[in-house]
Amino acid sequence: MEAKVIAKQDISAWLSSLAEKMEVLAPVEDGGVIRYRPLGEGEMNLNFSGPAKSLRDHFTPETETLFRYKYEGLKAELEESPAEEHDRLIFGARACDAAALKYVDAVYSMVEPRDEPYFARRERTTIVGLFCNNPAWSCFCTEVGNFLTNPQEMDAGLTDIGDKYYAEAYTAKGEELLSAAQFEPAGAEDAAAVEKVKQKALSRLPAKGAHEEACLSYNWDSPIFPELAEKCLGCGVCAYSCPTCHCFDIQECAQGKKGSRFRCWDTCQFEKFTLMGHGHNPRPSKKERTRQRVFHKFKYSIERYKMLGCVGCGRCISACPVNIDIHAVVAELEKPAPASEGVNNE
Amino acid sequence: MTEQEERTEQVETKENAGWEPKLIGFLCNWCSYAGADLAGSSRLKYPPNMRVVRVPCSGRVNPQFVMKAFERGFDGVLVAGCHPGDCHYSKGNYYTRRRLMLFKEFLEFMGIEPERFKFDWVSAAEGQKFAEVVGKLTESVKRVGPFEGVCKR
Amino acid sequence: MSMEQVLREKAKELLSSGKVKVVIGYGEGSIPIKSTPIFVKTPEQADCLVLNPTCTNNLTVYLPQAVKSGPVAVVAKPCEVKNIVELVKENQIKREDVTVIAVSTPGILNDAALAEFDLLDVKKISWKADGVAVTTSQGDTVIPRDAAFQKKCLSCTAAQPAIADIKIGDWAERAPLQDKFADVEEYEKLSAEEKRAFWAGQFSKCIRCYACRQACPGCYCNECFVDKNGQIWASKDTGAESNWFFHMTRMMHTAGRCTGCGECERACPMGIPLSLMGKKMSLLVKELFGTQPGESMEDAPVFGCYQTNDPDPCPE
Repeated sequence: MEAKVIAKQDISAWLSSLAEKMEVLAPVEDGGVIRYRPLGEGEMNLNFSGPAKSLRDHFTPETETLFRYKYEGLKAELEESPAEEHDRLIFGARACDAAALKYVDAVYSMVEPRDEPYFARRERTTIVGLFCNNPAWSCFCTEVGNFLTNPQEMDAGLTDIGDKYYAEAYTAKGEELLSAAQFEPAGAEDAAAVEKVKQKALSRLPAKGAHEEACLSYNWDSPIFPELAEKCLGCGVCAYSCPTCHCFDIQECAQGKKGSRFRCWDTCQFEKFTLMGHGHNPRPSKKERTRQRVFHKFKYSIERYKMLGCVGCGRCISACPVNIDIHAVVAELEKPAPASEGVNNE
Repeated sequence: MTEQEERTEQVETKENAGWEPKLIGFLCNWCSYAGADLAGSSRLKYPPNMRVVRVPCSGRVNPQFVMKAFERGFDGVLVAGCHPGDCHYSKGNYYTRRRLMLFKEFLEFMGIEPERFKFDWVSAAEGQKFAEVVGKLTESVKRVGPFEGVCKR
Repeated sequence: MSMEQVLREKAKELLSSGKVKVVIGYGEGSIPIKSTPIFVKTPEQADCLVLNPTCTNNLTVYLPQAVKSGPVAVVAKPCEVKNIVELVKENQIKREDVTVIAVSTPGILNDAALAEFDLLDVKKISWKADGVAVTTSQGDTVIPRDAAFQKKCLSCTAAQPAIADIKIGDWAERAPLQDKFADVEEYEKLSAEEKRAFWAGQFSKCIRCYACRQACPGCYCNECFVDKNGQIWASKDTGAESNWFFHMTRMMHTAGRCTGCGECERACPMGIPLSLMGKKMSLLVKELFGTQPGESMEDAPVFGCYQTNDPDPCPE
């Protein structure tokens, strides 16, 4: 389908017309943080530079009730949570956040049966991306997939070229969206404007190509990890703001004769994540846990899913209270080991 | 329906149906529970709205008990212990006093009406006082109405 | 000599004399707008120490763990020295195991002050007489104090620290530029219903990442009440009620020990105004018991002691 443009002033009208058919979520600023809220809840903010809160909680909610139960005498009633019924559109998604969904799809379909609640939400959600004009200081998507020029998992993508947005469709759903009345065919000067905007955005990002499989076995004992361990607070903000993180805990909420079982977010950065019933913890200190985070994103995910577990959104870097920079850590680890004492750099 | 939605529905019907507050009292075994017993054996009349939880000492009362009570839908909470200086364990209630005086103010800061949480001293001989304390709490909670929940928007 | 140079000299002395095994201070971050905690173990490494307006972390959070490997020196700003006082009183560290390098700075940068700058173009951030100078390729821009510094710094009086082995910076007492409790007063004008609605909105944002807890020097428990599941008092779900329960309990646990360092609020990824609760707690503690955390080594921990004439719910 050919590219289109839509005037900025027409965006509200377009989104409102969509909101009649499905739930529309758009970025809204709240307490200095961008969240995706239903249209109308708060003022839409499309000028955020750099990472907003990721899309993760819309597909893997922070808390998800799995089922409820109730006892009456000797009979127990089990009530499963209803499957996702309604259609949604997420407007203003970042390219990195959309691309992350490909990885999370792979994780949740790894075993049979696959995670149905997750896929129900995926199938019922349309994603309209908004490419970054002004990447944040912590962004590095160019090094892990370059989603600004190679968008993934979006149905359509918009680029801000001044008083209008340039729009491209990537799927049939996207094409249908862009056939709305507010869109007009794009002209040559629009395409040129997009090129300029993209080049400017790319100039703010690291230029290197894709990461190789960075973490090789000799890095297991790298002195970087004890160093990180000393300053890491174990706070979990990196994992909770990460669009590819997906671990969860299963807990119960019981009150007398009724209760529910739910799953909630969890992270390998918490001390008790790998604590076992018999008291042993294979990741007893922050050294093991920070190492786990780096290796999982940059090594194990390649081994297991044939793709990197990091999309370069940079949130873990800007959100980390102690300025642990995973980008710098990986760059350090990728440096070849000094060739000495016959050590083989493999 | 979530628990919170169920409670809200109950609140809405409560207002129509001559609602009675649901209260909980944490009473220390040696003084205030005995005082409550005395109120009972003296056949003193006081509102039946309070459920009682006996604790060994008012110092056992963790503010989490009070928070949980409000979280679970109680409209009012009482904590009663021995008079300062008369604690069965000598000093338990001195610690209670510090803790709960602060907690009471903090609850109010967070938006829970001060009429809902009462913390008082009732000795084993004060059956009458116990009946009065419960009566006053029931009254003040009735004035502020059903508790809508700690986080109703 | 600048404060930074003095700090480096002192650190070198402490390390070469063997008085401490490690100096916990600030180093350059991965980008000039940030600094990061560093653990300096040799006199040569001491040149990595920096002191500039980006040095915001409360380093005392590392102390209970760090002293296990030997004596430690730590760089602490006035609010943070108070945390050390409390940690010693609570027997988490021994006084003789920590060398307190008390640093009084003009103030620490408020991240929002950089909103108008291209962060990739900032080369340096430094103190200037009236505020903070941000150096970019275009030159220096000075942000005046009230816009540059964090709220807690604007209300700081730099009162003499209760303990200090080394003092760096200008410890002359200063008049606060802002009322520390202005936001608490503003909030207290709300009705009970409005207050509940306010926190309902804030706590519905909480994702239970526990960054507030991890960043807090007062939260050093080996097992937090949230992680206990023999009996589950605090549910791990992220509903507003559960979040309310978690934060209320954490505030009660840190009451009388919270020094207002603000790390909880800074670490929170969701922008929840946690320090509002902490500040109210410190006001209540002052009003009810006449003490403030960290101001004296002699005061007993607030809830670990009592007076027979403490405020009473029904004064007789």
